[in-house]
Amino acid sequence: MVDQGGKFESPGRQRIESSAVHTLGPNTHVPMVDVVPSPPHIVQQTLLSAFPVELLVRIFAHLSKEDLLHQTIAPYAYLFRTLRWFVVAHVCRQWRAVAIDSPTLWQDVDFAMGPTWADVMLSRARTLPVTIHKSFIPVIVDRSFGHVAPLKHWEIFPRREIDLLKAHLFHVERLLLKGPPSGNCHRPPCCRLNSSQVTLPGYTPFS
Amino acid sequence: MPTIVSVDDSTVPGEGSSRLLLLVSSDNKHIVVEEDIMSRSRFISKQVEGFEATSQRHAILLPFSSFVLNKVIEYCSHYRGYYLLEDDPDAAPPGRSPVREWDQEFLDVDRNMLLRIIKAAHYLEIKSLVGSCARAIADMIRGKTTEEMREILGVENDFTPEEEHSPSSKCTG
Repeated sequence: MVDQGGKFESPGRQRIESSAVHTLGPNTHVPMVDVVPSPPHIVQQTLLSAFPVELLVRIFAHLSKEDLLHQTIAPYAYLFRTLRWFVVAHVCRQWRAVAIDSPTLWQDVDFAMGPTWADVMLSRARTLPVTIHKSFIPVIVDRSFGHVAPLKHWEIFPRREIDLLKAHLFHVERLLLKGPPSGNCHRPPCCRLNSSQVTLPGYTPFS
Repeated sequence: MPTIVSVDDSTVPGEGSSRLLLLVSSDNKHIVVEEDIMSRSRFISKQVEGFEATSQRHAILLPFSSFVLNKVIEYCSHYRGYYLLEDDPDAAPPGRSPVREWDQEFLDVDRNMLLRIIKAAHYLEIKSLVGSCARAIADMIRGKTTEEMREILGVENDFTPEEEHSPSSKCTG
């Protein structure tokens, strides 16, 4: 029930006009109060201040998740992993600080960008649980010439990446290992492997 | 914190099972709404819990305009009685969930309005609305250049030339 008039009168009190009055019957009286306006600084702060950090993090999180999703499903995307969402760090100082200093934005670490950026991402996640995305790409693609060459097996999971993973095992929550699409593999590291499972019976993080 | 003013209990009628709340916007508009509708707001719920300790009813003054407040009430009214995972404080944070069609239409507003709504939702602690607004804003700037982002959201470039080309910021692959 909505009183469309939006005007209520009470004897002896000033008339209060309301732009929208909800859930009141036609004969209902609105309580009359001495309204203390919000302090001007509160109103001004809401309108003029920089965007609250928590909200920026929520917005950036949507961008980064979409990035990851797109790059997971797009054909050959695993070869060209980028952090497109991080362009927000070039908008202004606040956005850059939020993008870099918010650990929740760095919880998906993709080794496809190389160990240097994997290290940066793992550090920015601080101690939060992380998901590691590691694609086993048995070929290297020269973007300039479109040349495709097979990689040596030790280049597929370089020592530096293994060391990095070992250093951050304490906060690795999920380890997603992904092979290349079938038919695009020159020398697959595990020809017949299509799934693997790691179980730790009886183990809980707090036991 | 908003200023809370006491209201004489006898002047507030009870209607049905839900009590009435008086919300006062920054432009001094009085909006009476059933408590049930606003229960999605953690902020309002906490205020109401505080009221229960006293016999008095209260008005809650909020630092945003009636126009924005009405939009938030419209959202809360639409989802009255619905369970939304994002608003459950005991539920795990939701992953990527599909966009609710009604939310898309509801948030088809201009940039300034969208920013005001998300700030109000943040203030009122309505997580589901914050999430929907954040997604809408993300959709607005996705795939845009930094200059376009600044223009869309009215953000000023406050970098010095050195900062703008700092190597620490370059990780776009």
